[in-house]
Amino acid sequence: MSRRSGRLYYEDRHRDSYQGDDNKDDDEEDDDDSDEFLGTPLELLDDSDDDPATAAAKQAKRRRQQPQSGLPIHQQRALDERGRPVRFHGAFTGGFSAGHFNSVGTVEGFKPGEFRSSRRDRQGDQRGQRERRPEDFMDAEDLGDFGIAPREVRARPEYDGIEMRRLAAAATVGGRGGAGADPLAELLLPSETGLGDRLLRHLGWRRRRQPRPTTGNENPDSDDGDGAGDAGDAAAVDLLSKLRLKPGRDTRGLGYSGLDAGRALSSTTASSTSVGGMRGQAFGVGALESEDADVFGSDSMANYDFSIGTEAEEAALASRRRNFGWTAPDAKRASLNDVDDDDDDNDDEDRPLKGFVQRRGGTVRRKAYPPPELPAGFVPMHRPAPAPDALDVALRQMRAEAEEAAEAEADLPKPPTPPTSSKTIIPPRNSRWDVGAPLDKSNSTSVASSTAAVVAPAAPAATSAPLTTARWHQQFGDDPAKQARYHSYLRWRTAAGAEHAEAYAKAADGAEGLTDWERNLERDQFARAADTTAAADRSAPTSLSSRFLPAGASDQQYGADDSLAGKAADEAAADAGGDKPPTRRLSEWRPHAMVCRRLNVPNPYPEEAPAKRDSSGRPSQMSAAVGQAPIASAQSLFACLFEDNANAPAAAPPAPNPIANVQQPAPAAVPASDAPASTQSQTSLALSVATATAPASVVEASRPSMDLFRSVFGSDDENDGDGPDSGDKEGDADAADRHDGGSEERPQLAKAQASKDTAAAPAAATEQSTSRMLAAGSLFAHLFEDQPPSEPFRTPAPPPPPPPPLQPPKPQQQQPPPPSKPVAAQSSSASTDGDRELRRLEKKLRKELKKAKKIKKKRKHKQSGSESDSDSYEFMPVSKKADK
Amino acid sequence: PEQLQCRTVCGQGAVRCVRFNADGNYCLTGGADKSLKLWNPAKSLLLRSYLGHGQEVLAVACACDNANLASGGEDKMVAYWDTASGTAVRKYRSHLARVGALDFSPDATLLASGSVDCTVRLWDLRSKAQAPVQLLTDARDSVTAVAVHSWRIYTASLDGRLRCYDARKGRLAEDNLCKPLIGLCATRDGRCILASCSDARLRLIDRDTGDLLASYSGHSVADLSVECDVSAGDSLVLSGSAGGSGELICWDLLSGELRCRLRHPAAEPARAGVRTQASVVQSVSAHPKLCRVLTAMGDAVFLWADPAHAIADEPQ
Repeated sequence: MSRRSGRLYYEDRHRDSYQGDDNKDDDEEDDDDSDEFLGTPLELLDDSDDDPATAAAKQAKRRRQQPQSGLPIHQQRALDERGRPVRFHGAFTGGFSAGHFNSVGTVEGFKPGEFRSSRRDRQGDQRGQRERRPEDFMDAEDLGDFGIAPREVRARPEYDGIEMRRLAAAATVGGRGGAGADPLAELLLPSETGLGDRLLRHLGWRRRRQPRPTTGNENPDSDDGDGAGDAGDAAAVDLLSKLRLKPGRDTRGLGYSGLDAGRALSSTTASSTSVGGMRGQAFGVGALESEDADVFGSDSMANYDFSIGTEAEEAALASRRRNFGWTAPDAKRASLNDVDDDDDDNDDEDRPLKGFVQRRGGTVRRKAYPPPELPAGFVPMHRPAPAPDALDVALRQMRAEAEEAAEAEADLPKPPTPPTSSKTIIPPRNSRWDVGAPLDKSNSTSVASSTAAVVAPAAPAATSAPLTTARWHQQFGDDPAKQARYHSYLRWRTAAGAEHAEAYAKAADGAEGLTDWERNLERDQFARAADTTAAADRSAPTSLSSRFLPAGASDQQYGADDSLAGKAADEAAADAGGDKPPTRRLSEWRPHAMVCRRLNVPNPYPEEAPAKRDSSGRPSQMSAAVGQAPIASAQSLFACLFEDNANAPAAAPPAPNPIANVQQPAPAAVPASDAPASTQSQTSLALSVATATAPASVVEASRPSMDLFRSVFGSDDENDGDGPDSGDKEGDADAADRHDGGSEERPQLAKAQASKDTAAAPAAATEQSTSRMLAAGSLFAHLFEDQPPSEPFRTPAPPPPPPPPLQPPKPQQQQPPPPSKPVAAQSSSASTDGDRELRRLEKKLRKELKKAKKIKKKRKHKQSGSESDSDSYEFMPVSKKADK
Repeated sequence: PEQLQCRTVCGQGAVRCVRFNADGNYCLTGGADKSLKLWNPAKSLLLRSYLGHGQEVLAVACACDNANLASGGEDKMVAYWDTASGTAVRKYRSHLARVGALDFSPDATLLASGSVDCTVRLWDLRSKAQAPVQLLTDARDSVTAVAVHSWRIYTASLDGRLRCYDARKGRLAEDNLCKPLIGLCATRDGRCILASCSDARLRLIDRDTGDLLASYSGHSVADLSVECDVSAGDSLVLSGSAGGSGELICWDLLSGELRCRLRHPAAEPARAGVRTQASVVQSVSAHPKLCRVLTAMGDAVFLWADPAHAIADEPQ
C-alpha cells in the first residue's frame, strides 16, 4: 500500500512540477486520484472507502494543487508527498535530502536525527540493545522505490519460477511429491542450496528423505549442505560429495586444483633438511615489487624431470610431482581409474553414481584408419612442377618490352652533332632529342642574315618531321654508297617515273665494283625496300603537305581532310575505290609530365614547364599544335592572365595570304589580318618570340620568380622594389631602351624568322607553323609600325579617351594591347634579360589593364549605353581590330 | 572451335558492356539499370553490385590488380570503384557528354576515358584532383574506344581517325581510315591495332607504320556499337554482329578467313517482354589468357569456351 502510494506521489509530484500546463487539464477533469496515465480511470465507489493513507495523500494533493493551478510553470513549486515544498539540495536532480527528514534549510534548521553518544551510553551498545541497521542511517526516500534500498516484497531465490512450477506440476499430478514429502513442507521449507542443487532439481532429481549413512562420513567439503540439518538433505549431501559438484567460484578451468599448501609443506619438510624458522622476505622488497627468486632455498635435483620416460616412469614422476602440491589432471584421472589400489581417503568420490557401472575396458579405443597405400614408385619428395610456360612467357614479354623500348629509343630522332660556330648561343632544348638540330639551321640563318639578332630555335616539329620522314628512306644507312644509290633509285623511280629495272640501272650506272650478282641482289633489295616504304612514301608527303599550310590560309582550309566535308569525300572515295589505304599523319603531342610519370616513360619534353595545364583544367593547347613553337614557362601564367581570351568569340578566319609575302621582308606588306585566329595562339607565339629573343634567360625562367607574381598580383607601384635587384631592373630597363633599335630592326626579325623557317622546311614552303609565326611577327611589326620608335615601352596601348597625340591610328578604346607588343619591339636586343623583360612586360600590362578599366568605368558612368556596351573587357582578335 | 559454356541472365536490363577482369576469373557488366555488377561468369554467380551511376553504364574497366574498377556512363560520369568495398573512390564529372570508352594504364595509375564530347580525358588516379591530368582534344567526333597499351594511348573516333598518342616519343600518329571507327583493340603483343569500322569491316593496322595489314569482314554492324577484340595469343579476331539472332564471329588473324559464327540462343520467351535489342551482340571481351570469350546480348552474358579446355561445369 505504502509502496503504491509512494510511487504515485512521486510521479504526481513530477507531473506537477515539470509538466505544469499539460497536467492542469487532467487534474481539472479528474480531480480525484490520477493514478492512471493510460486508459480510462476506474471510478472509485466512495472516497470514504479509501484507506486513510490514500485519503490523506489525496488531501495533500488537493492542497498542493490549489495554489498552483493558475501559476505558470516557472512560478510553481515542487512539493513533496506531504504537500510541503521540497528543498532541493542536489545539484540538478533534487533527489537528495539533507539532514534528518531533509531538515537542512528549514526554519528550524538542521536537526540531527537522534544522536546518542556511545561514550556515555556504552552499556547500551554492549548489551546490543541498539542494534544499528543500515536503515537507521537512511532517509525515507532511500527506502522508496527510487531510493538506494527499495523495499519490496520479493520471492526468495529458492522459490523462483522453476521450483514453483515443478511444485505446481507435482501437486497437479497427484501429490507424488516423494516419500513422505508434503508439498507444503517443500514449499515452505527453504533450503539454502547452491547452483548445483538447483540444477539437479531442474533436471528432475528429487530430494529423498532417507536416513543418514551410518558411517557418519562428515565430509568437510559439504559446506554447502543445508544448515537446517534435516534428514532429507543427507542424500543431497552424499550425492554432492560424490559428484563433487561445487559451484565454480573461481575463474580457473575445470578440474583444476591449486597448490596444496599442506602437501607442499610436508614434502619440503620431508625432503629438505635445512628448514629455517623464518621464510619470506625480510626487507628490501617493496609492496609493488615481485619477490626475488629464493636463491638460498634448498632444492634437490630430484625435483626436476630430465627425461621423457615411459608411462610407468611418468606415473612415478607424477606421484613424485604430486608431492609438490600440484596435482595434474591426468594423474588424478589415473588415480580415479584404479580404484582398487588407490584406496585413500576420498573413496566415495571415486565410486560411480548409483545405477552406473564403471567401465572395465579402459578408455574407448578410437578406430584407426590406415593411411592409403603408397604407389610402388612413389618418391616422397616434392619437385616443383617445371613451369617453363609462365617463366618463358614472362621472359619473352620482358624481352619484347625491352626490344620495344630500345626500338622506341632508336626511333627517336638522333641529335646531329652540334656545330662549332663561335657565334652560336646554345638555345634551350625543348625536347630530349632536338639537341642541335635546330641549332645549325639557326646558325646558318643568322650567319646568312648577318644580323646581330639572336635567333630562336626552330620549332621542333619542323625539324622532327623531315627527320622522321627521312627515316623511311634510311634503309641502307651502314653503306653510304648503297644508300646514295638507293636515293637516286628512288628519285628515278618516283620523280622520273621510271620502271623498276630502269631506275635501278640508272641509279647504279656509275657504281664500280659491283658484280652482276650483287647488282641483282641490290636491285631486289631496293625493290623490296621501296615497296615496304611505299605506304610511308605515300603518307609522308601527304602528311607533310597536310601539316603545312599556305601562309594566310584559313583554319578551315587547314586540315581540310579533317572537316566533315573532307570526311564525306574520304568515305565516298573509299566506297568508290574499295579499301583506301589508311594514311598516317604524325604530329607532336606533348604529354603532361604526370602522364609520362604514370606511364613510366621519361618525359619527351623534359625542359618544359611542369604544369602545362592551367588551373581551370583546360587542356593544354599542345595537342592542337597551333604554334609548335617553343613556349616559355610563363605561358601558363599568361593563360591565367588572359583567360578571357578563351571566352572570346572565335575570330573570323583570316584572309588568305599569298606565300609570296613570306619572303617579303617589309612588314608593311603583310596585312594585319594575317593574325592567327585564336588570340591565345597570339600570346603563345608572342611568348615564343619573347623567349627566343632572350634564350639565355629561358632556363632560369622555368619557374617564374616571385617578383613576377608580385609585379602581377601585388601593388602596381613599379618603383617600390626594395629588393636587391631593383636598381638592376632599372639598369636593365635602360639597357633595353638603349639596345632597342626601334622599328628598323623589327622587319629584320620578321625576315629572319621567315628565312629561317623556310630554311627549316624547304620542302614545305607552305608550312603552317611558318606562316603562323610569320603572321605573328608581321602582326607585331604591323602594330609597331605606327608607333614612334623612340618610346616603344612608354606608349600605353589602350589609349585613354583623350587620345595621346603620338598615336596616329586611334584604336578602339576597349582594346588592350596585344600582350606581346613590347617584347616584339625589343626583340633584337641581345643583351636584354628576357626574364626581366617579362616582368616589365607584366607590369606594363597590369598598369595598362588598370588604366583601361578605369577609363572604361569612367566612360560607362559618363555615357551609358554608347558604343562601349561591350560588357566584357577582352582582348579582341586582331582581325576585328583591323576591320575597325 | 568454341561452344557455349554458360549463359547468365544479368537482370540489368540491357547489358551494355561486359569485360573480363584482370585474371579472367570474373567479369564486369554494365547495365542499362545504372548498375555495374561483378559476376563469376562460369557459375552465373553475382558477386557484387556497384551502384552510383545516374544513368546507364556504358563502359567498364578493371585495374590490373583487380583492386579497382572504373565505369563510365550515360550520366557523363567516370566512377572509380573500390572492388572490395563497393564504394566509389572517385567520381569524375568533367565530361560533357556520355562516356563510352574506358581503359586503365598498365599499372592502373592512369585512366583514360573517351566520350561523345570528342575528348579523351586522362585521370591521374593517384591524386585526388577532380580535373583530368590531360585532355586530348584532337578528335573531331565522338571517341568510341580507348585503349592504353604500355605507353601508347589509342583512341578510335567517329571521324575515321585512329590516333596513337605515344608518350615516349611525344608524338601523335593519326591514321585516317576514312570510315567512322566504332571499336578498337590492340593486339596482345601491341604491334597491331584492330579497328572496327562502321562499314562492317575490321581493319588491322600496323602500329609503327600505319599500314593496313589485313581486313576482316562478314559481320554486320547496322550503325550500332559493336565491339571487337582479339583473343588470347593473338590467334583470333572476334567481333560481335548485329546479323541473324546475334552472332559472335571469329576470324583467323593471320589468314583473315572466317573461322566460325557462334549463334547466340534467342532470348527466353519469359523475358521476351523486355524490350531490348536482343539480336545484337554488342560487347565482346576475350579472356586474358585462355580461349574464352564473353559476349553480351540483350540482358544476358554468354561465356564461350574452347571445348578442348572446357570448364568442368555443365553448360546450362
